[in-house]
Amino acid sequence: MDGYHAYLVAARAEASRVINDHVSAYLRFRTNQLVPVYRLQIPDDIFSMIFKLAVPADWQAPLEAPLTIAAVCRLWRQIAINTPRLWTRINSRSVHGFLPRAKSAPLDIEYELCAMDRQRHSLQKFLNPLISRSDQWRVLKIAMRRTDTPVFNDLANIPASNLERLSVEPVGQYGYYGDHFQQNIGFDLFSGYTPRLRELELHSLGLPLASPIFCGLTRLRLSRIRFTESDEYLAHQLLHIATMCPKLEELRLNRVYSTIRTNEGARSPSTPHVPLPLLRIFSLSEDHPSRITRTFLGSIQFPSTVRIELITDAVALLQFFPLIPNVRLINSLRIEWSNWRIRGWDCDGHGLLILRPLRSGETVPMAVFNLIHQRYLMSNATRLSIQIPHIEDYIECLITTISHLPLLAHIWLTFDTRDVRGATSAMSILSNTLARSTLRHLYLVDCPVDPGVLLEFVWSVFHRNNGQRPKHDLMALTLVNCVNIDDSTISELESLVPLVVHITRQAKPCTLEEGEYLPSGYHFPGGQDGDGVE
Amino acid sequence: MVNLVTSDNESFTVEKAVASRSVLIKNMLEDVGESDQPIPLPNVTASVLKKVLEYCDHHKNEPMPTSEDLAAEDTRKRTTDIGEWDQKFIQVDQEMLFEIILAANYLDIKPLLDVGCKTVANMIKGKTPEEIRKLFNIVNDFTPEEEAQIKKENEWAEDR
Repeated sequence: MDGYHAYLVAARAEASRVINDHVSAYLRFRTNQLVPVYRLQIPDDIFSMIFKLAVPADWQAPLEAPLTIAAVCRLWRQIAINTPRLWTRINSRSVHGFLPRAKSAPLDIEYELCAMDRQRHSLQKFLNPLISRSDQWRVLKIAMRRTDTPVFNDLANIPASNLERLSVEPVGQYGYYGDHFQQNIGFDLFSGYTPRLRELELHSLGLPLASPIFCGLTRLRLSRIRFTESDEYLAHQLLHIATMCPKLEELRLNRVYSTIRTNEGARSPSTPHVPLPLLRIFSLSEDHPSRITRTFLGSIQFPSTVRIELITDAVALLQFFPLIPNVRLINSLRIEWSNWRIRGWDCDGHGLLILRPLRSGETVPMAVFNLIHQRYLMSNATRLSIQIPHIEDYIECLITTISHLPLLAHIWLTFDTRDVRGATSAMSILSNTLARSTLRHLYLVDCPVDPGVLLEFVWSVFHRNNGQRPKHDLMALTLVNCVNIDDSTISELESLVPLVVHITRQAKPCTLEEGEYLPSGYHFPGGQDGDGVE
Repeated sequence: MVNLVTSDNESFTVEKAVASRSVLIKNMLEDVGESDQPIPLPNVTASVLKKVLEYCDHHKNEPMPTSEDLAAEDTRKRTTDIGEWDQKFIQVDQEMLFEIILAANYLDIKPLLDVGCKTVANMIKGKTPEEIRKLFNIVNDFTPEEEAQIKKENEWAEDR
């Protein structure tokens, strides 16, 4: 009897607790009706719109962002759960929670595992609940392990008529490219029917180049893929892909090789001219001069605003430089000797050219630079920014460079603050070359020399006409972070140059955005004749 | 000129170009033709309409959003960037902000609705549920069971 009584008491207490919880929740729900966000009875579709804006579908917001919104209150939770677009970002963690809520909305799928997850998951398991909804895939990004490659058989015949972006890259036990492998697949994916596919990025995964998957793209990146066909066939097929993608905006070929190299001297079949009027970025990266580079640089009709990136060795650089388009449009040029990087911009500040070595630390023989500058004038360059090299021989090369740029008006020289001797020597050698009638503004950055050396250098550069002051008013000297310069030196410099600007702050390194626009930092001025420093 | 009458019976006389930023009013004007009859706006108060008309006047010379713009609105590339003038314009208290959103929705002024929604979205972004509740004076109205359910479904996110 006592037991029964205790049972009744406990049951009553439990019922009372549940009722209290619900009453309390209801009262709090009613309290919410008084705040503006509720009281004004904003329609659900407006809340839904706000939530979609707060959770962009492009992986910019944290994955848990929709969960946060759904945890605010009952009303928001109900609206959030009934807004399928909030739940479309699918990865190995969110797949089971988000997928039912995404309903029929387009899915952005990313299979990218951290080291811990790699032990527990497989691509096969991840894709299992998604395969039946492949028509909803909008983005598919896969980081695959060696053991995942058989899964591509499952992708051969499923529909992907809404797929807009496909990206596949390898991941090893120790991270990306940790244990690099390459896989070639001999069949089409998605039955070759991907009418909306615009962006395709394949790392270490070769697909048949005649596949329709390569049609109509606006962005194509192929990286570290070795094909078994001859390089002649490979170049021809890649060019064919370019013809099938007339709206291509970005084309990157990074170490795309053929295992069979045809005789370089053999006569190549004539290649058609392929106009790609919308191309913004064309990037080629390879170990050695290849038929692909020659074919592409020789056949594609590039727009005047295209940015060419050529990442290669010195031999290829010399061989292909004459084929690089738009060199004559380069208005601003930057040369970094330490890692031999060359960058060029047009007069509007848009990046046109990037040349750099495939392997960091690689140097380019001076002869190559000399030949480039002697043979292929960047005749319209008016602005040059250059790191003063440590090795004296390179100074000679620098002189060749400057003497082959006939319109130079603005020159930035960046020194190594620790190398006083090198800077003194460089300035002594360069002064005659810099004394040119076109020079309007000279910038010395991080120059560590003594005042006496600087005064002599400036006098030589600006007073070449028998010690007379320069005739035009535009001549100016800007000193950035030149630590040994005091006020009395500035006064003396002002008697030599009409305009002297001295900036003492620490110069910052030059970093560029993805778009490679002309930097507005100290390497180049923000304005026509501005102070050159932000 | 167009005469608009608010829910609290206040009258506003504005240029047709300004009033026509509202698709609702533009359609009404097209249906009615040339008329001196005032247009009643029973869902908008004077204080809100004044603010809405300030927006319409500032943007009166801009092209109306096209059907392509509207079709693209739900794409993933839609950002929450707001123009400088619009940012200053929308710096109002919460009540007025939601009133403007409601009015823009009723009057069918898509760009204004966008500015309002983006402003609220930016207020939400990066905040925890508790911070969002505090911001909008919302009380947590989940029962303990619902809380437990939410906690459970969010475990994977906290597990990162």
